[in-house]
Amino acid sequence: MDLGTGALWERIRDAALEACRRSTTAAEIEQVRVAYLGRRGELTAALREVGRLTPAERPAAGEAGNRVREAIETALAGRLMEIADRELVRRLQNETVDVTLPGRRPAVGHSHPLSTARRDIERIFTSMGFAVADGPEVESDWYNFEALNMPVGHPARDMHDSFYVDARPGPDEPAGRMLLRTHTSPVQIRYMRARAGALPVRIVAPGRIYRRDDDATHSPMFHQIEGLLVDRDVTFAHLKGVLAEVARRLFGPETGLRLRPSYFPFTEPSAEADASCVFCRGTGCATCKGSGWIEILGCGMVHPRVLEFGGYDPEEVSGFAFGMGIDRVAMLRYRIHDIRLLFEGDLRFCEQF
Amino acid sequence: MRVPLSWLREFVAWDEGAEELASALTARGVAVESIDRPGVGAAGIVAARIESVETHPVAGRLRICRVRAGTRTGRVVCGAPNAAPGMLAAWAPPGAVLPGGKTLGIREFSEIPSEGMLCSPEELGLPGGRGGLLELPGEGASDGDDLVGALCLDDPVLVLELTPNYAAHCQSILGVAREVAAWTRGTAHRPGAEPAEDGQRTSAAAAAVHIEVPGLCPLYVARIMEGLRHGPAPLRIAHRLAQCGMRPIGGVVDVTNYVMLELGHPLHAFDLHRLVDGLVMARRAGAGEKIVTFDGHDRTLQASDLVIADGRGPVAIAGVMGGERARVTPETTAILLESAIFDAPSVAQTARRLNLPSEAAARFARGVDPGMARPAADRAAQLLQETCGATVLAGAIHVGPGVASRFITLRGRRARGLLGIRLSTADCGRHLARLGFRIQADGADRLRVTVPGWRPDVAEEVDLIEEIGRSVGYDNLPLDLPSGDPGVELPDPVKTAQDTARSVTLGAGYTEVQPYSYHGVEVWDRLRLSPAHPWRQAVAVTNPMSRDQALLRTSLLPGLLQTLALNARRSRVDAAVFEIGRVFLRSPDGGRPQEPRRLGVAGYGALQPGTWNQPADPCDFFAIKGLFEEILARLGIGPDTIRWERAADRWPLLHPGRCAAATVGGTLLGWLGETHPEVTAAFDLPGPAALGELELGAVAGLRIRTPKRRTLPRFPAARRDLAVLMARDFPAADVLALIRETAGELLAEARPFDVYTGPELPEGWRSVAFALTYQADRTLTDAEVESAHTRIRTAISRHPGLALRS
Ligand SMILES: [Zn+2]
Repeated sequence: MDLGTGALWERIRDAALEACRRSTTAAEIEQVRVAYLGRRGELTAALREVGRLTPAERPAAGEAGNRVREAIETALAGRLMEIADRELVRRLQNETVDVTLPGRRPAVGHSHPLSTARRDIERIFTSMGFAVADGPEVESDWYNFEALNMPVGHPARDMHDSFYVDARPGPDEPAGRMLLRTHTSPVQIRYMRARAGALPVRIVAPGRIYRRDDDATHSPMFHQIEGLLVDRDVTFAHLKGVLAEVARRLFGPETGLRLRPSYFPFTEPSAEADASCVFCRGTGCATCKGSGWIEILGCGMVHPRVLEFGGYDPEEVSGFAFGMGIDRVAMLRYRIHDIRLLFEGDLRFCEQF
Repeated sequence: MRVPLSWLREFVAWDEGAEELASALTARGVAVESIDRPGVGAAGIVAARIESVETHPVAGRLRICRVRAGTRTGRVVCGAPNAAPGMLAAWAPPGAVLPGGKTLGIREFSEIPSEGMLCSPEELGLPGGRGGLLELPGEGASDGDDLVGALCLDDPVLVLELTPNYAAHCQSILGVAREVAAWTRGTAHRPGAEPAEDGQRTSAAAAAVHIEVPGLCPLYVARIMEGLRHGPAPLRIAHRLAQCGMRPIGGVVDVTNYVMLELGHPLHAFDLHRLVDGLVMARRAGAGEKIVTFDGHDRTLQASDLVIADGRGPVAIAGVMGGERARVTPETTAILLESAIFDAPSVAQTARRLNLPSEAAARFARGVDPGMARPAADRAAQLLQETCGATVLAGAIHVGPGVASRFITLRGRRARGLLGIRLSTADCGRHLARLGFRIQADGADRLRVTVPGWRPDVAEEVDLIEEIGRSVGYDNLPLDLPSGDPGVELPDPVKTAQDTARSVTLGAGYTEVQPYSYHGVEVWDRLRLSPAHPWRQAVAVTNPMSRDQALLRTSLLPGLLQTLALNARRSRVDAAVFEIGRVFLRSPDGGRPQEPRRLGVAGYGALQPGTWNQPADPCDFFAIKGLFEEILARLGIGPDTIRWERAADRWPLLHPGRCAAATVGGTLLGWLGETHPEVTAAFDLPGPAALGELELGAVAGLRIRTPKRRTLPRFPAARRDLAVLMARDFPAADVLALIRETAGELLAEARPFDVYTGPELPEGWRSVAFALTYQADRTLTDAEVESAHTRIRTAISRHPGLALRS
């Protein structure tokens, strides 16, 4: 062996580096390391030979040998890293999924369009200081008609074709027939009486109502939200202001509001409120029958007699009231043309919302 | 109410087009539903005399008519049965355009060419009259006349949808004209009505009128006419009646209808010679008294009904319908024309009871202007003179006390306060005057307002304020937002329970539905309910429109099952639905029913269907139970406080082994289960459905707690498992209770995580594995945990019916 000339070192180095280059796995790298740098490795053996050289030869040979060791170690470490990188890449490749397969969607249910509409309307009013009130659906003639200024024989009763039920009013209520309420307006009377003269009265009352009517636009069961504000100095201007704000929040900031004189026995003056058509922006379309306006609610100033029935003095306080069809809002918003779809419960319909 | 614009123009002038007029009226509360233009585009249609009619040589159903229109003649094939020689018909010759735009030419019918066509009323866009040709009356038209102009074929008609309050004053051309005049600030004019009277004889000498009940008939005006000749009404009258939706039938009736439409005052004509003793009397009917009305029906009257009677008996039900005996016929030559005022509620009540909603009754029921009684009689007399050649006897018979004017005091302050507008009291008066009210100042801020006779709907001060509002224009009234404190909303625990139930249920995969609140009786039979089952104690609807509206629901589950059935019918594989709604519980004494709110859930198949890499999550007993546990836990009712018990006989619709009631301290909170196989079959479901109901009111009654913060454990927990052998019907909850009792305070949690039955276990036994977690506010030693765990193992092995599984 010629430790002095360096030829040996070069041969070992070249062979080791070549073996390192050919290795493709961590195990092969380990074999190379053992073969050259292990206890019985070729380089280890050669270095052991350096001890037998003369003291003068030893330093140069030792140095050359150690350089070769360093070179091999560096090469092995580098190669090992390369192999690890390649293995990671391969592993990631193996773990690759078909991203076009469907995701696992959480099975979350769908809120009914009527609930969504009701909640939206409720939120608008609660943000304007209205509390949410409630009343029974089986109502007495007195609350449903009499106290709302519709005595027996009143022509407006003809528009409230009622379902009657076989029950009697409670012991502390005026006698009379019981029916499924035809509007949410009885809550006006109930709430005013519960407030016992306190001011203000500021509520909305959503709920189911019933009339004997059945076609694509009328269901025997439908939904209304009642509103009532009673206080000192409440004027028609307040009614207009509140409703204009509600129309904008419900149908969009561009929405205009128009009031037309109308008739309800429990309000005077009375009005029908139209919102500018959300579909055609007022230019006329099939939904608004070409008029550019869509009827959204009936309203007016609370009739003095209704205030009296509620226990308030019409000379002291005034108020406004309105009733909005929730089904109608939902039908407009989601473009539902047959009201019966709302109640049928076909999940293919319900899951669209 | 239908208002032809050509007619309206005879009463009032305006410059704007039909659309502007319609929106102005709508803005005033006289809602124009649509503008009917039946004849738009019509041209070249002429009146033609049919000179001869032959049967078609090939098609026997058809006829060949030779027609003449002035100098023009033609041959027209037609199929109408009423084509007859001498008839004046509407001819659309080649080149003419029908309403709707169809242009006519020459067309062959079985080898006979037809020059245009003869038209039916329908083809001309006129209401009424089907299956025959329009027959033009002989008078007032001659062949060759341009019918588009003469019939106002292209005249727009406003279709009004009147609210009950305007039904009184806008059910006439005059009434609508008054509204137009108030809009244009012009004046409405009535056409002159001065019949040329026979100076020699007076109405008063020819007949007598007597009122027995002035309360029900405060005014009766009668005019007498003689020498009438019956014939079809002139074209103009006939066409206008048709435009307004009434069928022209000729003679006196067309004229009385015409005047009613024009002035709003219903008139009635009696054949004078058939009135016994030449007398009419307004009196109450005798109880059980009978009359044959002119539609041929026998009517039995009551003492509350007002009748017009002659010397023999009733000849009309006042304001509702005339009688057969003294009715006007084509042979009638002399009439007594009645123009009266009848009590509105009385007419309404009689018309409703006899189910006779005539045009006259509808108007009397809303109130009729007493001031129009005489002018209406005069107008009819004048028209009858023109059209039937009547001789009008001098003067009219006037009987009755009349109707006093009504006054209302208006406070300007009140008007301003309610409308929220700055408007002087005098200006309030000016607005009212424009609408026909008479105004007198009454102190500084008050007006004494006389209500015109045509406004029976205006009864009190607020009604006047509405009139001011609509005169100013609702669009011109100001906008404001209310000030002042908003109301105080107390938190409603039922609403909290409802909101929580809702969001948890939605999140668990159930979709909200809104079934009807009512159902039919047969649903109960499909639910296996015994006749005495509490669910059958329902409030009944006494006048349902169909059988499935007969009963108010006593549970949400029938509706949800029907919803599932509908979706199953439509091939739905998985379905999970819920509703939050009310049920109606009959009060034992028949009084006001209770209306508790409930959450109802139901589903079949999977809540989360299986996917290519995930098994399905079934909607079964434990899905619903878990849902209820989660809702209750979030409302502060922990699973440890709820007692679950099988209750097979209470809900026969449920599987007897898979149903449970949840109670807390004896209060029933809910029930759930899987459907009984018979119910699954009765609803045609693809498999058992799981369903349940939660009483939100009862849940809310258990004081909903706001969760309080607990210290998070800082030290590691130790887990030990424990497998316990027990009989199949030994409740796992009892084992849990035993574990908790014996564990001491180191046990933080214990839950079953596996249930096993298999051949190596004794028959009827199962093994339940529990995971126990020990934890404390320090690091536990093995010895401590082992000691607690051993205590539990010992307790279980000593407990009868339990054994440790090694
Ligand atoms: Zn539109």
